[in-house]
Formats: sequence, structure tokens, C-alpha cells
Amino acid sequence: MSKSGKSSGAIGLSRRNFLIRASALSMVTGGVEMTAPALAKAAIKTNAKVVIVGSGLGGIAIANRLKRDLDGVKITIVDRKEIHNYQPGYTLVATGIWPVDKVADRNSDLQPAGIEWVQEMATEFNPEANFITTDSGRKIPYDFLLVATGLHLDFDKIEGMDIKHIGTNGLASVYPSPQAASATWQAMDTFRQKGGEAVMTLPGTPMKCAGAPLKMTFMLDDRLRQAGKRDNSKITFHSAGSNIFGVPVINENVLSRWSKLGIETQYKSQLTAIDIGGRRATFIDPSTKDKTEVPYDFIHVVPPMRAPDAIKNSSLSYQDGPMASGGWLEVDKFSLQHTRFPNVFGIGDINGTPRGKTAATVKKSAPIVAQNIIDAIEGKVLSGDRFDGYTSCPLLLREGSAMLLEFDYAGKLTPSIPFVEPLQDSYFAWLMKYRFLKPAYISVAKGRV
Amino acid sequence: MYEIWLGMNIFYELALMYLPLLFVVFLVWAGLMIYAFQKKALWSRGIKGAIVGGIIATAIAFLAVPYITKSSLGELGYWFDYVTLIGVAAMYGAVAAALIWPLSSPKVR
Repeated sequence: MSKSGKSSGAIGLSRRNFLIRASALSMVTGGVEMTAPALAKAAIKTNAKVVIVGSGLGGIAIANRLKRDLDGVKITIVDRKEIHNYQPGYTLVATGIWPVDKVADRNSDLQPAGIEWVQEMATEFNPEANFITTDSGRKIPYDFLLVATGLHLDFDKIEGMDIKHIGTNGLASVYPSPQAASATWQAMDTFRQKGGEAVMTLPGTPMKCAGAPLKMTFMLDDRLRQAGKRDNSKITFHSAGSNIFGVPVINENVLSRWSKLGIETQYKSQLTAIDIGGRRATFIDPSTKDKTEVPYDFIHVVPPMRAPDAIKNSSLSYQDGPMASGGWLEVDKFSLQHTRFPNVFGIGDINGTPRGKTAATVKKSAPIVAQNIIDAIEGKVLSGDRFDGYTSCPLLLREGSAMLLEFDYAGKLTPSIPFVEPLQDSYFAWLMKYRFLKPAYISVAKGRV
Repeated sequence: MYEIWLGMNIFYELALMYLPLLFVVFLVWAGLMIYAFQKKALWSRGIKGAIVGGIIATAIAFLAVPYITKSSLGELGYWFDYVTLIGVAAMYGAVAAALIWPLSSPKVR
């Protein structure tokens, strides 16, 4: 289905809506329009065929950038989903701050005009022959491939877990969907009326938004205090590893705060099974295999995460090393170019890089990946900046306050604004999360920042 | 430089989100300006009222914005929080001043 050909129905209305909005805004702003400095560059002529698998933030941001900077490029986006979920907003929904409708947009509103949108899912990658196969059996050839599939939430690794029950029996999980986030708030809201035993979990795999389990823990504590039920409640955080966050300075800061709040931690404690009706969770020590059964009134489940099967089972994934078991995409961590197939690039959660599975990572890496793809199309040496692994996490501390954490591959704190104190309780950081980061996200998706 | 560009984009997207409200405010302001021009308003004598109104609106916004954004004044942790809040409040103040100016300027006829 060609997006340029969809001039009727929802897309047509949406465009008309956009034009009306743009005209009105132009009147209000005195005709000033947001035009990226890059627009001044002359578009490079090419007839290259670029296939982008995945229409999350990374896929759409690159599509917009390539469409703007390349004249004649044929872009195909492969992804069935029509709704674009603003995942950084899930924790706000799951803690009762935002209504659920604030995190849903339409993919068609964010994609550039003049691309082909194949609303199917990629099931096989064949990088040796430069084509992918979709779930309808269709083979789509490419000159250049961008893998932007996101990752797979491996709830199947937790025996007895069923995401359909999130919201009932004290079962919560912010990750699967906006609906799960909303149901998580129902479970939290019900729990805080009485209080009791709360169990928070963290898997041992690489994961997206590694701050989310911490935010959920801080916010649960705050919600219990607001309800006057903190004194008769216990919160225990079970980490499958030996810490709660991969950046040591942040790990220590959060643990210090939790100590003051009375939040306990258990290490080497990996959730392996859950009895939803009986409200009992089974944890295992990954090294000794000792099992512990824990009763709870509220549990926040964070599943193990890995690459989707289509990537994991392909030759694009790591074949050995620590990233191989998760099937992550084998890319150079600085250029995000595949290390064995130079016409393949990766962006976002799928990349097997040391850190960075957040929207902020996409914000910083999208211009680099786009430039590198353009260079590859032109047959030049890649000239994009070295990606430093930047990621960011506005860590909610309680309703109304957060810390704005930014760091790189090395775990060094890298605040964008020099005045910002990363480890300071801050209204500014809260305001960023509450009001300003979604507009920033949309700007990234449109390829402007 | 990048942060300035990012900030401009954030406000652009925010404006798109709140476009109907902005459009109504713009229409009201435009209507007031046309009315004041027709009545040959003495603009220079209306500035003081606009500034005072803007300052009052800024003060009100300074107190109200934290609560509107599900926080509170007690959560202002350090100087950058105050600068941020003053900046946001000043934007409300500027809008209020723009609306008050045509009203506070004495009319010749």
C-alpha cells in the first residue's frame, strides 16, 4: 500500500487537518515555520531502495530524514501496527498521572509522504541475498536495510504469567501496552487503599527503559504515602542481578533513597513463576538455582527481554558473545552499522549495544544512522558522528519531582544542559517528563531534531 | 545551539497540540487590537497597565503552574527549578500583557 496513494479516508482527513492546523499556526506565529537547518542542504539524487523494518520512533525518524535528504529514494516501511504508542508515557499512565489516551498517536500521521507502507510483519531476514520475507510470504528486496523492530517481551519465560490478567489480583506490568499500563494503575490504586506486601521485579537481560522499574517503585511508595498506607506496607525490589541499575553512581543514589524510604532489595532473585490467583511469586537464584516462594498483595512484573524471533533466528543476530543468547542485532556500537553486512543498519531497542534502549537513544542516534546510510548509498566512508551511547531517563521520584539522568556507554553522566544537576530532586525534570518530552519525541519522529 | 533548536521544536509541537486554544486567544487579541485601533488608542499610555497586568499574571502563574502540572511549589529543589518556573510563568504574563494592552490604552473616541 503506497502511503502517497492514500488520499481518501482517514489519511486524507488527517492531512487536511494537518494543513488547517499548519495554516492556523502559521497565522498565530506570524508565518514562522519550523524548518530544520538541514533543509538548506540540496537533496542527494539516488534510486536506492531502502527497507525499514519497524515503525517505532527509530524507523519513522530515519524514514523522515532519508526522505528529506535523498531525492528519488524508494523507502518501504514494513510494520502492521497503525497506532504509534508513546512508550515513555507508560509510567505516567501506570501511576495515575496521565490518562491513557495521551500515549496513542497514528503512525500514518508521523510517516513521511511518498513512501510505501507494507502493513505486514517481517518474519525472515535474508541479508546474504538482500531481501526480507513478510508473514504473508511476500519477499521484499532492498539495497539498504534498517532494522528497527524493537524487542520482544518474553513473558513466556515466567511460568503462569498471563498479561490478560494485568490489573486483577494485584498483578501489574507497565511494559506490554498502554492498556496494560492503565490496568497497572488500577491494580496500584486498589492496592494502595489497603496496603500490604508489594513485590517489584527486575530481569537479568538487557531491557528497554531500565529506569521504568525504579520509577514504578518510587511512585508506588509515594502513592502509598498519599493514601496513608505506607506504614502497614512493605515494598521489596527483587533484582535478578547484583544491582538495580547499570550505572554505578545512579545505582548508589537510588539505593540510598530507597534505604531512607524503607524499600528493601533482594539480589540474585529472578522471577520464574507466578500463581496469579494465589498471589504467589517464585524466584530463583540464577547461580545456585535455589527457589523462594513469595506471597504478595501487589506485584510489578518486568519480563526478560530479547530480540524478536525473526532477528534472533537470522544471520543478522550476534552469533557468539554475551549478546548472542538474546539474539540482538550485531552492530558496531559507534556507527550502528552491521558488522558483517555493511548495507544493514540498526536503530533503537534491537541493537546489541552495551546500553541505550530508550527514546532518548533514538533521538541522539537517528541523525548519525541517517547520515551513515546516506554515506553508504553514495559509496562514501561513513561520516556520521561516533555514537557515544547517550541515553536519558527522567526518573520519577514521587508525584511532582524527578531526576533528569543522562549518561553514555561508559556510564558517565552527560547532562545536556550544563546547569542541570542530574542527581538532584527537581521540578524541572518533572516538568520535562510531564509536559515537554512528548513534543520533543514527536519532533524526533518527524526528523527535525 | 542544538538545545535551542530542540526547545523551539518542543514549543512548536506544543503549539500544534493546543492549536484550538491558541487560535481563540489569537482571535480575541486581534479583535481587541482592531477595536483599539479604530478608537485611536493612546498606546504609550496603556503600557503601564499592560506591564502591571503582565506582572500580576506572571505571579499568579508562578503560584499555579506547579499545581496544574501535578507538582507543588515545595518540589522546587534548586535554582534551575525556579528559573524554569519563572520562564514558564513569564510566558503566561506576556500573553496577559498583550491582551491587556489594547484594553488599558485610553481611547480618543
